[in-house]
Amino acid sequence: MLPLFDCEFGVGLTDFGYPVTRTPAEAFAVMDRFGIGSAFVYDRHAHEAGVFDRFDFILDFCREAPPGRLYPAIPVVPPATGEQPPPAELVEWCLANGIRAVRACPNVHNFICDSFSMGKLLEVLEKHRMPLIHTSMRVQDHPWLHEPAWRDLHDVALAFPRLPIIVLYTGMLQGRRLYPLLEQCPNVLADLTCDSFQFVEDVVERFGSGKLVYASHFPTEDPGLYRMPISHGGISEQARDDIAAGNVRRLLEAIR
Amino acid sequence: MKTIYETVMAGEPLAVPFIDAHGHFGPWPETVIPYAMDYSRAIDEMDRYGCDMAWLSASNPGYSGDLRLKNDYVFDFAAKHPDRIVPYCTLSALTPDRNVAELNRCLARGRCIGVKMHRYQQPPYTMRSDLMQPILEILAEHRLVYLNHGFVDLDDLQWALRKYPDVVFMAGHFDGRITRLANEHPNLRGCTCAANGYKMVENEVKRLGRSDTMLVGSDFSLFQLGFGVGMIVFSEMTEQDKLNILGLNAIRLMQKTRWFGEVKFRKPITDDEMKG
Repeated sequence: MLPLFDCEFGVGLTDFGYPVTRTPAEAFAVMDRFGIGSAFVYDRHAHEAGVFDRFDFILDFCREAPPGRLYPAIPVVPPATGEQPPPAELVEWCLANGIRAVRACPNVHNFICDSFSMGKLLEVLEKHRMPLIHTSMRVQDHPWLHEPAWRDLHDVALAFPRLPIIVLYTGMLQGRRLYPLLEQCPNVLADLTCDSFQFVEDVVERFGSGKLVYASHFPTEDPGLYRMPISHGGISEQARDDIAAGNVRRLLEAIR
Repeated sequence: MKTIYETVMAGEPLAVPFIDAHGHFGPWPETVIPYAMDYSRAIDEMDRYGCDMAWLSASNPGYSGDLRLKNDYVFDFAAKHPDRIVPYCTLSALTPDRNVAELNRCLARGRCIGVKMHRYQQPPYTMRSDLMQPILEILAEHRLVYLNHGFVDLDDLQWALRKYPDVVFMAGHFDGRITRLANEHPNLRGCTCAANGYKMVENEVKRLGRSDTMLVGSDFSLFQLGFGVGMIVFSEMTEQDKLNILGLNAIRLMQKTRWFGEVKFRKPITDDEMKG
């Protein structure tokens, strides 16, 4: 199996009792233990505190790492608030600074991630095929009864069909709401938090191995929780590689 | 010989005893479980992970459908794979007048590790409630396990721990209050199920200085097996601590049962490992 590409790895400071990772070396100690080769990395402090205009910490953190291991991911909010540069300018700045994915966290940052609120930015992201990582988990939350804003996700996925959308935290009991999205929206990928018995096997059989990705959810969860369905699931070696890293790497290669 | 960690990193099934102490079997109304009633899919998954045995209760345990039918789903599965699947008899506070008869019916069907009860969508109860006493008396007679989703009243739990020393009480989900109490009560166990936090089980073992009071649980086959075993195998606990939690603690509980001598284990277990 390929080394994992982790779609959600948080670093930096937090006061919520989660492990704090101050340096790339500390991050690698965790990543190596779980066979995580690369990761989309976000700044936990900025995530919790709502910092949308200063990304020095996460950029410096990732620059200190060997090439190809850490990919910074920054949060985005509705352009109308003016908290970030206009969409075209923001995305150009991202590309110039090695940012290959942005994060939409509508519950933590209290906005609606639909085309009405986010359309102007999503249009630019779609033009560049830059992945949108979507997580509607709250700062302190549990995946058991979690429920993403499914109608907003449907709306965005259908309105921007060439925008890659990585949905993190689909909810552990939300399969009947997730499956239609996977079936009807080729641009949507999901992490493994649905977690049902035979979820990975069933999604691969029904929709192909291109629909799933790995996310460790460090530091809020143990990266071991969602790793073994990839390494020990009843799927082909090709499917293992796709889910472990191949699907994300193809998204990175497609960015314009 | 590979360590547990090395085995898992190589994508191989665990080569050490692995007994999942908290699982379910049957259909679920609130989410899609693609092969919820498929024996072979469940056994195949256990084989890929190296899971020797799973202790399973009903799906939506005690708060959906007819309890007798739900128990039969599990006991029918166990009848087909008696050395791999050991059922709990699921009971409910919704059916206090039928619980004893249902427990006796389940015990008559074959091996049974004990009783599982939940809290959702049923009247509140504690271990001191009237409905519990005949159940615990039968479990004491058979030296079996009482698994609950979660113990809400710890005073009443401690009362029951003292009154029924031959019953092993187990909390279904990771709870530091329970593992702390287990230091004082030899018939109390915790389960690792849903210890989602980073190194949560490993840190608890360090804090307690022991690993003989916790059993691995995953909610299999509602969820995939890795949901329970993942945080154990990747941890940096000692091999003996991992062995205890993954399987030996469960074997120690089964040794108390009348049917332990009939079980055919797939992997050798040394006396040294059992002594820990």
